[in-house]
Amino acid sequence: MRSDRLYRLLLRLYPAAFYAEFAVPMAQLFHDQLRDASRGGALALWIFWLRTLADLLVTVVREHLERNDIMRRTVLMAAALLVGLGIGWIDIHNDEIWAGLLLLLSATFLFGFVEPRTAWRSGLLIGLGLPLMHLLAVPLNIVAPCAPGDVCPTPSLGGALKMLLVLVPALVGSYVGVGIQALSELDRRNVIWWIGSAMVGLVVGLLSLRTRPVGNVILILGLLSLLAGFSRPSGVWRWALVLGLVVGAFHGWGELIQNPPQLLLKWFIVDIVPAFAGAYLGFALSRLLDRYLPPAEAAAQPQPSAMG
Amino acid sequence: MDSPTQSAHDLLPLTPAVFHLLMALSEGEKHGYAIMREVERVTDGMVRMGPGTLYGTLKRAIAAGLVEESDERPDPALDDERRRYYRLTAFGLRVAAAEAARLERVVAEARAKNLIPGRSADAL
Repeated sequence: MRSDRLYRLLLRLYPAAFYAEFAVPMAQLFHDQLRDASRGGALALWIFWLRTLADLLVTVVREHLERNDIMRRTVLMAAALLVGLGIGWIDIHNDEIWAGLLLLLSATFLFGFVEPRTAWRSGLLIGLGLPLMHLLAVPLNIVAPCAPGDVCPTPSLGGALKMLLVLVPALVGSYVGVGIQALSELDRRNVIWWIGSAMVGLVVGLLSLRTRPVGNVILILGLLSLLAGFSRPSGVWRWALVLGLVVGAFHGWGELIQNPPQLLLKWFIVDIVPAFAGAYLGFALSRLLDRYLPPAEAAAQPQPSAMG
Repeated sequence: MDSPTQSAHDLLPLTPAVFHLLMALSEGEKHGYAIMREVERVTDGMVRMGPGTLYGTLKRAIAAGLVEESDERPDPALDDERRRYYRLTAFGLRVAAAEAARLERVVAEARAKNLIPGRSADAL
């Protein structure tokens, strides 16, 4: 009885939500295990208590860390945006385009490597940080130091919108980081998938520079996305995002020469929408087929046992 | 049903705790003590789950859609206390089967390399 009471007291160390959900069955299990251990004498009881305390210490720490996982990710995303703003500030104050680009690729690679689960978010936030800083430079009049007599670039809305192009190297950098991290864990299936989707995006993007009307490219984009969504439904939104952004960047790049930079955003939207639409249509078709024509191995699996 | 973002293979490889949990539930619903006893039996006593490990694993398995709570009722073999029962979901069964298939391939490889006594391709 004393052991039961002591253990129930120790259960208070768990996070409140975990305690509310599982304290009763955990106390029951402890009682059952204690009953079994007591049959082995005093030594068995001591060993049982040592094991229980070790189990409690490890799992209390784990449950508290998991509870804070959302906070950790929020902090990481805020850090990604700040890094992007910082790189944007450096880019404004630096004539050399490669400085900003290399910083961007390094930062997104690092975030993708360290936290692959949120790679697209960190890549997007770092990539958005640059145009956002260029945008903030307009009202705040942030300009690079300029020697007398030199032609000094002034911040402009058009210049800030042009910076949206950095979303492409930002996402590429973060997914290269994911790829390297995955390689280190021998997850070659996913690495091949990402490299493949990036290469397809490059090919379609190059095609978009030479193909008229643009509807042809959008149709190809939609069909490729449908195929991807059908064949690999899991994580298909990532494929759609990467493909849409890569092709949109090519489209925007080709149009920049003749048209105002504001149209760049239009091309991202025009290419991302069919990519997502095709991918999720492919996913829906895949699910429909699974329901009405399940693969042979799924039909051979034993069904769950009846309830009650 | 797989969600747009997850299939059974996305969760592989499973941790030993999760796989043992799913295996224990594969024969039917069980309460915590029965799960713990089944895991001990299958592993010849080498894996002993304490309450923190078992219910932490259950929490994560429920969150992942592998396991769901069934109902509360007494276990006549133990006592009159109402115990919480758990069971595998259809997705959990698919994940367990996928992990078992993966381990089977690993064991076949180990047998081929003569790490496990028994018939191998070379021996045949």
